[in-house]
Amino acid sequence: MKEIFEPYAGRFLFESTTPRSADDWGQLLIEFAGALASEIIQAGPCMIGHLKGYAHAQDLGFLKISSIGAQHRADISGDWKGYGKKLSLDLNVLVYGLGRNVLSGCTQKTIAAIGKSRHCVVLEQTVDARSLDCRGHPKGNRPIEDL
Amino acid sequence: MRLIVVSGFLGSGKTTFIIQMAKAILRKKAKVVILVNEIGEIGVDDQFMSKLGLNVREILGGCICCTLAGNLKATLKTVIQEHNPQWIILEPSGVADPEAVDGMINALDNRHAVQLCKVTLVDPLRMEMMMTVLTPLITSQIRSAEWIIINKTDTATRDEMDFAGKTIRTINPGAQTACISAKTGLPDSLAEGLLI
Repeated sequence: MKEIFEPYAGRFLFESTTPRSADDWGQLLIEFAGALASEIIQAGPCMIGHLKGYAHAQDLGFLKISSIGAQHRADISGDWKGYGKKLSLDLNVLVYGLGRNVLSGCTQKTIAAIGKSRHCVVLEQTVDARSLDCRGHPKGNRPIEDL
Repeated sequence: MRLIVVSGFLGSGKTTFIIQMAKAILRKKAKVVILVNEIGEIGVDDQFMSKLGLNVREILGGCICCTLAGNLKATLKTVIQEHNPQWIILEPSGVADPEAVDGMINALDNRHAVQLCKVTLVDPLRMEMMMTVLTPLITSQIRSAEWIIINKTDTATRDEMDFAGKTIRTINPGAQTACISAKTGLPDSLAEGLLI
């Protein structure tokens, strides 16, 4: 596993042609998190730290989604009910061993697949994240081995 | 003023635990402010906690144990001046070195007025893997805590719980420990123990 830790962050707008229930959107996000975790694991030697997102929509409310890997179902919690055609998702992808470009590629691929299978359009607005070394300390700072 | 520092690796359940702690404090009619240091340019935890009606400040753009040390000191000062809370809950990022965070807190101008409680959350589902891959960080998180809480009891296997318990006892035998599922709530005894 490479000694890198480059968080990837993205903001996504999911849009459906017809209103979906909060449960359906929740399932879609759980599916997305699971598929993203699988995609990341297949991309190379790595350790998923945390895949977490904050979703909100005027008609639905808000929720947090949290995943620690493909073998564990993602958790969702929040105040999420009703029906809506779109939602916004802020996503943080925190993975050891893979660069930001790889993580971005995995996310794009997963987003495209989920959009196709769940019949919705997903638009992305990328947000830059800082480069951090494997233990989270910006490069040049005290290495963890000193502890 | 009481300061609870909640450490733990990414995905260990710190945010869920903090929300439960904050609710327990609010039930006592006390004022609490949460400081969140999140890795990544988009804050997820602060948005979520704010929507839940909690008083949250975010320290974003790096790690408070090194590059953002000054931000932590300044934010603490501002929060105390503006809100005068009885409680502050600090959530360092999951990759922060808690022993370095300790150093920052000990260097505060008004350190004598701060009663510190250090809590570390442990994720038993991935403990074995993390102890292999990230030994120094996880060891530091366990070693530095007064309270070590094994989370996710609802999904962990007995073997995973045993491994986590054994590892904790080896690294920090003097710590108080508890096993919880933060997402289903905190046992009253734990909340009382932490809020004494």
